[in-house]
Formats: sequence, structure tokens, C-alpha cells
Amino acid sequence: MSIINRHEMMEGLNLGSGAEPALTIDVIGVFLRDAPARVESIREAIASSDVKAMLRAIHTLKSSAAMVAASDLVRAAADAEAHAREGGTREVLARIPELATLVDAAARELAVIQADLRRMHSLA
Amino acid sequence: MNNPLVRDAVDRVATIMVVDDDPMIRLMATRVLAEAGYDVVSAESAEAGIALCDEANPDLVLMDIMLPGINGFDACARLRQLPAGEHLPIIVMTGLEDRESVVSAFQSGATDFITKPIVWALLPFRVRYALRASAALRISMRSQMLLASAQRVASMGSWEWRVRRDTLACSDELHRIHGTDPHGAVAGFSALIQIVHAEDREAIEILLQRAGRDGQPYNVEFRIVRPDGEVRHLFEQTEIERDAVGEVLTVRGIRQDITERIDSARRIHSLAYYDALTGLANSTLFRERMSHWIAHTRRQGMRCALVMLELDRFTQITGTLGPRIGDEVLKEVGKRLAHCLRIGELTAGGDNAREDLLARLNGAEFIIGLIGIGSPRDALSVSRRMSDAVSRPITVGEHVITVTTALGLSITPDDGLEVDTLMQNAETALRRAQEAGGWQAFLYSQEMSEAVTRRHHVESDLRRALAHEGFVVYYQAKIDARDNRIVGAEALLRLNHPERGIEAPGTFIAIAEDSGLIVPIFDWVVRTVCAQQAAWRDAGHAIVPVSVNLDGKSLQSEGLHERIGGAIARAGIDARMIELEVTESCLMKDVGASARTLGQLRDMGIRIAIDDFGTGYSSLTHLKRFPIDILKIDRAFIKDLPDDADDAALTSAIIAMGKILRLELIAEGVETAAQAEFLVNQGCHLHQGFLFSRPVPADKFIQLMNACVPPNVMANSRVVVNG
Repeated sequence: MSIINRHEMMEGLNLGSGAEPALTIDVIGVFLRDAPARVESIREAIASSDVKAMLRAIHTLKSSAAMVAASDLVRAAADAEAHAREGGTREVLARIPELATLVDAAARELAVIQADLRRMHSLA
Repeated sequence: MNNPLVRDAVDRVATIMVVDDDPMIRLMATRVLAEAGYDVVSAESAEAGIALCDEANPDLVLMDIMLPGINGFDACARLRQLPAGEHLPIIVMTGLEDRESVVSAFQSGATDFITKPIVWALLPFRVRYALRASAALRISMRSQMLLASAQRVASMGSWEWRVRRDTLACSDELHRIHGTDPHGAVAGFSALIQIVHAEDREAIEILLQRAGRDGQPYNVEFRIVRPDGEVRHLFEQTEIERDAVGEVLTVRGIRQDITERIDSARRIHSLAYYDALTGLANSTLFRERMSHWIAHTRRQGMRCALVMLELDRFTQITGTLGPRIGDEVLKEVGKRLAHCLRIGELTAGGDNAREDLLARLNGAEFIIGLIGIGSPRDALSVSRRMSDAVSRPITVGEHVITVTTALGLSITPDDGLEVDTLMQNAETALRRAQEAGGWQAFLYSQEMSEAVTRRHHVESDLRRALAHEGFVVYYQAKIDARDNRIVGAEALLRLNHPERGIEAPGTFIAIAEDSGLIVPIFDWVVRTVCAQQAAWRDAGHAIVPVSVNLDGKSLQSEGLHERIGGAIARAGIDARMIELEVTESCLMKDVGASARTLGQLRDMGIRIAIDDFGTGYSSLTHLKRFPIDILKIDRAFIKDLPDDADDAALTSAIIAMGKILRLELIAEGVETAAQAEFLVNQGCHLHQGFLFSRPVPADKFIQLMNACVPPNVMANSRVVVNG
């Protein structure tokens, strides 16, 4: 079961400006680099009791997930965000493993799509 | 918005700064905006963004509200503090659910907000809109600055009055003009009105109200008084803005400080109004002021006279001695004329104290306005003074020049009420005077003309008579009616006119008094009577006391008793041979001084009679107080005796009173035997009147005397009578 809705992602990134597929490739690149780090940031923020940082990290993860049309990840992140807003740090901590798992799955799929796109359009 | 300036601003390449710690956002924003043609720079944090802002000078900032380090709000505030940051458009990116952030963003100075997730396709348009708004704002501000500069240069301040809410916006320049503090308290309609000079305030208020109520624009000039008291002249122009249904929304005005312009105008005015040579007013100013005073004095029932004065044969003077000397003569004449008049500073517009006007017309012609005179006589006397003053020799360097003048007068209202008419008439009179060779001529209504001409002639006659033995003394006998003996006489003045013959004083006595000639005339009469008495005595005749009428002016004159004493002494007669008759009203003019003078005269031995008794307004205490010896009952009481019961009663009363006061009584104007009989019965024996004798010349009188006086009465004895 794919975690990335490729079509939706491409639709979302189709700005009619002729940026695709280069934009998609770059967006995926960002996700691959950034999303795992975000999960780490959440852990660190909780560890240092930095609620703001925690919120920020979850929020960013959520918007990045939306960018790549990873709806399950989006939902999970939204859930964590809700808890984070209410100050439910423990609840957030409990959801980190799930988030990490979803991020991994998304990253794997996206890497494949990225390679595919590169091949299709003869882009490095 | 079709403003080309705005289009340009939007169309040139703008730099956008993206501040977000999310690399995805940075990527998307950069890509999307770069595609749209913008230059994009990005930063990961607020601090980095602030530093980058300084460097890259973005035209717009797109910033996430949630940033590590200092948050978005603070970052926003910090950006605003940068030199370029005051009007920098800052769009913050906020969460959809995050209403608090939206409010805080606004408070920290964000220009707009955009919610996440961002619709990337629309982002370029959002940015474009924001840039356009920002450009329009910048242009508007620049316009305002230019406008402010222009207003400063032109000394023009603008204001905008929103009528319904009565709010007022004023430009800085307006405050500068008003001399007020831009941060002061007063606002609204009253701010525009309060500063206006009290005298102009009502008018301005009405104009402004009409503008606000009826949409009536206006132009006006008025004065303001600055808080420091300085008065400035302003020019104001207004225009009206109406709303969709035609109601007045706003009144806009500009006020310009025109004080310097007004001052110049004043200076030009003074050049236009004054004669450069003499410094006197010129005819323009004269006309203006004369018109004003004619109307003013007319309302107060007074007159003005216009005198045209021209120096005779002035061209000859300049011809012989040169124009520079001529100029000096004119200047001196101007000064002397001013001296004769009530002249102050002749200022156009000043009208408090009544003053005469003096102007130079042209050549050697001056024009004078005599303001607020009572009668033509006043004009005459001033004219004479001026003529005398000007004809005194004028020294210029080593030259001594004598000028003579001709004058022509016109008087309001008889000769007209318009300056032009008066000037014409005065000019005509002047020409006549020049032809006649006399020093003045008059021109006004027939009656007046005759009266004043006559007066002038009469005065001349009097002067001539004084100088050339033109007067004659007649004598009217006073008798004791019991035996018809002459006991005295009254000396009566006659004028022996070369053409008209003997004239009684009725025709000239008033003029003699007015002109003051009465004083030398009185002295002459006294001297003549004294001399006559001496002559009669020396010729062996018996003489009786002769009374002389003492007029008011002579009574008040200095050294009266010395003059009379002198005449008596020179003639070598007994002072008791001279009596003085004074009218009741004359005495009352200055009771104290009169009493003193009469006392002095009485001390010399001269008897005093009060004349026309009963016709004046003395009191009994005065009668007691005055050194009087004789009481003459006025002819008015005698005339209808004995039939008129009232007159009979009054006469009896006077006689009784005279007895109580131990005064000698004599009745004047006794013409019938019945009157004489009545009087004698009442106890008044001394009579004077046609019944016995009219006034006659000296030689006739002495004949009368000789016929009446019993031969045994000695010349120097005094006939004492008591009632």
C-alpha cells in the first residue's frame, strides 16, 4: 500500500509554470533530507522541554508531508500537533515511533519516484 | 490603478525575501516567485533574515510567524525599525487555526498574512498585490513630501475639513503660517476660526459655515493674529468635495501668507499719495480725505471749507531765480501753511481726530481743507492767517523773496457736497480774486455771499474809520424831568461813512465786537469824550457827566483802567465827568473779573451804570456785589407805559428795588409825556429819550446845554440827584 499519492503530489506541484518535474524532484530531495531530521528535532525538543521547538518541528513535518501527498503521515503529524498544542508532551512522545516509521516509508517511496522522474526526463 | 508611477514600481524587478526555517517552504516560495520573475533571497531564521534585509534591501518580506530564536512578531518589529523597514511590506505566514498569531502579527506591524498550507499558485499574485499597494503608498508619501515642500516655498498651508464629523487635518506649513503647534489641542472648524483677527472673524466664520453647509466655495483675504501677537495677512481659497448624493463631504482650503505683498502695496500707496517735493499730500489723497470729512462733518451739523491758494507770479520767481530756489520757496510756503492749520499726520485711513487738510496741487497751487468749521467767518480768519503767514519774507540762501497769494474759497453745503464741485467753485473764486487783485473772493449762496461780503466791507470801513477819524460821538441828554434840566449825557458812537454818511452802530456794532475792533473803538470814544469835556470846560461851558458804553471785550481787556485813567488825565478833567454804562449780561460773563475791574474804575472816581436793566440774567446778590451806582431801566419796560399794567408793575418794582439798593435810577427811551409823568410819580426823575432830545453832535449838544442849564450852576459841580 503506497504512502505517497504520486498523482496528487504531482498535481499539487503542477503550478502550470513548467517547473515540473524539476520542482518535484527538488521537493522530494528536501523531504528526504529534512523529514527524518524533523523527527529527531521533536525528540530533542521534548528532551529539552522546548514546547515551541516541538510544535515547530511537528508543524513543519506536517506541511512537508502534505507537500509530498503522504496523507497518513499528514494525519499522524496533525494528531501529534493537536496533542502538542494542548501541552500533551507525553502523547507526542508516544507517537514519535509511528511518525518515524511513516517518514521512513514515505522516504523510500519518494526516492523511487525521484529516480524515476530523473530517468524520465533525463535529468541528473 | 492607472498611475504610471505605480505600474512602473510594480513592473520592475522586485526582490523578495523569504524567511522560514522549513526548507520546503523556502524551496517552494523561491521557485514560485522566481518563476514569476522576482529576485528571491531566503533566510532560515529571524536573525539571519534581519541581517539579510540590510544587505539585500528586499521590496517585500515573506516570513513565517513561527521561527526559531526570536519569533516572527519580534522579527517583524525589528524589521520595521530598520531604515528601509518603515514601509516595507511584510507578509507573515500563519497557521489556519492560529487566530492569535494573526492578531499579534498585525500588532507587530505585519502588512498582511497568508495562511498555511499556502496555495503556491496564487503566491506570486499575492506578492504582486502587496507590492502595488506598497508602491502606491510610497508614491503618495512622496507626493505629500513634495506638496509639503511646495507649500513651504509658497508659504501656503493646506487644510481639510471633514464637515460631518468636524475633523480638521492641517499641513505642517499651515501650522507654520498660523504660528501654532502641530500637536496642539484645538481641532475641527474652530481651529480655522480662532486664529482669525477679531475684526475679520465673523465674516470668515460665515464663509466657512456656508461652505460646509451649502457647498459654497470662496476666496477671501483676512488677517490672523498669531499666538505671539503678530498680525499676518492671509489669502484663502477653498473647494468642495461632495459625496455620491451631492451632500458636502469635505471642504479643502489653502491659506497663503501675503503679508509681504500687503506691505509693498502700502508702500506703493504712499508713493501714490504724496507730493515728493513738499511731503504734503497730493490731490489724490486730498480728495479721498476731503470726501470722508465732508460726509462726517455734515452728519454732525458742521461745515468744511475748501481753500485754493495760489502764489502770484510764481513763474516769474522761478524764471529769475531758478527752479531750485523756486522749490525751496514752495517748501517753505508748505511749512507755513501747515503751521496755520490743525495738521497732524495725514494718513490715508486714519479718521479719529478732526484735522485740516493741506495738499499741494501743482505748480504753485495749494489746496486746503478746513474741517469742521462753524461758519464762513472761521474760514475767513484762517485764510487771512495763511495769507499773512505766506506773505512774510522768505529767505533762501542770500535771497529774500516776498510772495503774495490769491485765495478762493468754497464752503459746504452751500457750494456743494462733492469734492469736485467744491474744487471747481473754489477755483472759480480764485480766478475772480486774481482778477480783482484782492486777496480773496468767496463763492457760495447769494445770501451768505452778501452777508460775508458785507461783513468784510464793514470791517474794512471800521478799520478805515479808526485810522482816519471816521467816527463821531453824538450826545443824548439825560434830564431831570421835574425841571427839564440836563444833568448828564450818554455818548453814542456814529460812523461817518465817506459815501453813506452817518450810520448808527446797529449796522456795525456786532461786527466790531466779533472782530475785536470794538476795543480800539471804545478807547477812541473815551479819549474823544474826555477831550471834548476838556474843550467845553476850557471854552467856559458848564459840563455834565457823560457816560460811555463799555462793551464786554473792552471790559475784559488788559489795562482797561490804565487807558481810561490815561485819557482822563491827559484831558485834565475830573474823573466824575466820565461814567461807564455796562449791560447786565456783559457783567455776568465773568463776574469775578468784572467786579474787580469795575472796582478799580470806581476807585478812580468813575461812576458805573448798569444798562438795559431787567433784560439780562443777573441775580440780586450780584447787584449788591457789583460796584454800581446807577441803574438804567430798559426802554422795553417804558415803551407801553402807563397803559400796560404788567409793565407798570414791573417798572414800579424796579424803581422800588433801585431805591432799596440806593442806586440812582434813570429811565431810557422816554418818548411820551404820559410815560414821563408815570415815572415821576413812581419816583424816577431822571429820563433819557426822544421826548427831550435825540442823540446829537457835540456842537448841537452844547447849544442844548446852554439853553437848559441855569446860569448859577458851576462847571465843576456835580448835580446830585436822588429819587
